[in-house]
Amino acid sequence: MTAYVARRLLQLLPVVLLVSAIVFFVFRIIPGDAAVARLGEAADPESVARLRRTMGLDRPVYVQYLVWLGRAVRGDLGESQVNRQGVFSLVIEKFPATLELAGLGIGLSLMLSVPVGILSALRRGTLLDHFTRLAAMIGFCVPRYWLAVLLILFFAVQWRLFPPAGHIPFGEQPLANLRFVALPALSVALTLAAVQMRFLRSSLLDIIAQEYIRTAHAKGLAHRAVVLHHALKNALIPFVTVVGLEFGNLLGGLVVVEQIFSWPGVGWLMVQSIIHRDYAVVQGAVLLIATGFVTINLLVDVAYAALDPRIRYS
Amino acid sequence: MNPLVALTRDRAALAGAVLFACILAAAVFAPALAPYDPLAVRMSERLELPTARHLLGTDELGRDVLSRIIFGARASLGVGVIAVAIAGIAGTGLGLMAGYYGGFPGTLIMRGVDGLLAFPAIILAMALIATLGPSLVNAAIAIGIVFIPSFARLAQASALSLKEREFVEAARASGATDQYLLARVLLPNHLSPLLVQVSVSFANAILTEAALSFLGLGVLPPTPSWGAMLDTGRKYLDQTPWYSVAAGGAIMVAVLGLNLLGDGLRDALDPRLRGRRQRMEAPVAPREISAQT
Repeated sequence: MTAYVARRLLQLLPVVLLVSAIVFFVFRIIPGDAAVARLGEAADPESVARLRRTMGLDRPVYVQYLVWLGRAVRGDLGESQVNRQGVFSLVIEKFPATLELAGLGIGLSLMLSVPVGILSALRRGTLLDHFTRLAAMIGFCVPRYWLAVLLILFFAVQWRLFPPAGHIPFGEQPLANLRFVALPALSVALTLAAVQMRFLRSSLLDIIAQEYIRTAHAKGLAHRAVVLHHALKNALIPFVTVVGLEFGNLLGGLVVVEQIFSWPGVGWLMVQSIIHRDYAVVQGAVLLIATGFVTINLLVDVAYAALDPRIRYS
Repeated sequence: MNPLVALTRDRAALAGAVLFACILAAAVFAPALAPYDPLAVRMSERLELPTARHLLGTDELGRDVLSRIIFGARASLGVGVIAVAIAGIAGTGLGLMAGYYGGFPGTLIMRGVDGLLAFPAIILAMALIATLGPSLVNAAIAIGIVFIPSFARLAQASALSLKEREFVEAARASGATDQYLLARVLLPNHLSPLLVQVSVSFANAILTEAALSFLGLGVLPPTPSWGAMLDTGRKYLDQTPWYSVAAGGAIMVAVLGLNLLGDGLRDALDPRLRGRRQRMEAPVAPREISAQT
């Protein structure tokens, strides 16, 4: 297992390097000269040239990249043009809000998808199964941002049960925080639960069709016992992977939700920074989100290998 | 059974095709179908609830919501077509070459693809738009680039398995050049999975375009776009809820139609799946999980 983790960690390094290169070069596309942009069109050529030298813009591109990478590794991603705060701390500050939303969304979705998924597989072909499958298909196709708007319409505008938008840190007022997180977390949970339910049901049905399940049945075990004790354990292995991948995807998937609910997470910060043309913050946020994304995917792979020994040796 | 016959016998796929045809018709015949000019401002009629004159009400500038939704199909489908064309051509080309040539060039291409896959799709699209500037065409380009990896991986897998097959060996033995093999032998045999991928990616492109327009990074006002309407409409939920709800509904109809059609195509083109009610049982590919933005 240690060897597997070490190998996967080694594979992470080139990917992160590649990600950093893509981020660096994407932000080189910005039309115009960064020095001119900072000093204004009317600046005299001499001061532009001086600033270009201090900013390192007169050096070859690969040198600029290496200098930028060297600083990034030490946590120096430049500073925000808007409020002069360091980009690294600005982005990191926003991560807890995003993680809270992602964590609660996943937690709620599991509470819904696991029992319903199992029940649907157990009662295959019944009315309940058809109904949950239809609900899952709808949940799969509903755009998350539309669901969020519908939730606001009913729960905030019509029935006034929850606030339509906003955020209070959990540390300050835990109850108020939960009231604010309810609708955004629900919009995440319902769309995720649809995918999870579909997946859990299909992997359970796949496993139920296998020989060893027939053997368990032949031994005279009750159907329920066979499903819960023999099939479920194996069905949960790929399910854990799917949930883990969903968690990583939420780093991107929350952007719109955060915007709708004015939830001050990383995605919200990124949108605000794009609007204010605060490129250093956008660049830093993209780099940190992508790094988080590949790290989470790595952890998912490791968890998969820990659960299923076949992966480690293949 | 002929795949086309199989497809027409699949009720869900037919329903998907009908839904998609409605959206397509709305986009093509928008000037004839829309009751009003989607850009005509009438401040005296702003934020009206649905009436016989305005079936879905009016927006904050008194423009007819139904007309804007009908014209909005143009932006969504337009971005979808451009994005899928970019991703399909570049991704399939790169993937087939990577799989066919293998070795160093193949590894180089696939590592680049892995690099693009290391970003959540919408984050990379937003980064590209932040540098290119928001517009319909730039949104389409950004989405197209972001979708390249899924096409490339699919094509590479096809090429890897196809190049070992006897008919490819036979073509090579009879003197076919690499270009001929790629374009005339590998590509036609890759069309089935490609077609399914196109329909799924089209749905994802529409979802992503709407998300970007929602964030103000896609289609710019006053051009009608479902995503932008969903965003503006939510500010008036207490006055005219239909404004935002209808825009979101249009997005969902398009996505649902394309997904049902894609599922049907997958079943019809893969004889092993045909006849088995595979649809809801089919495992969800990780890329589909990321579809939601």
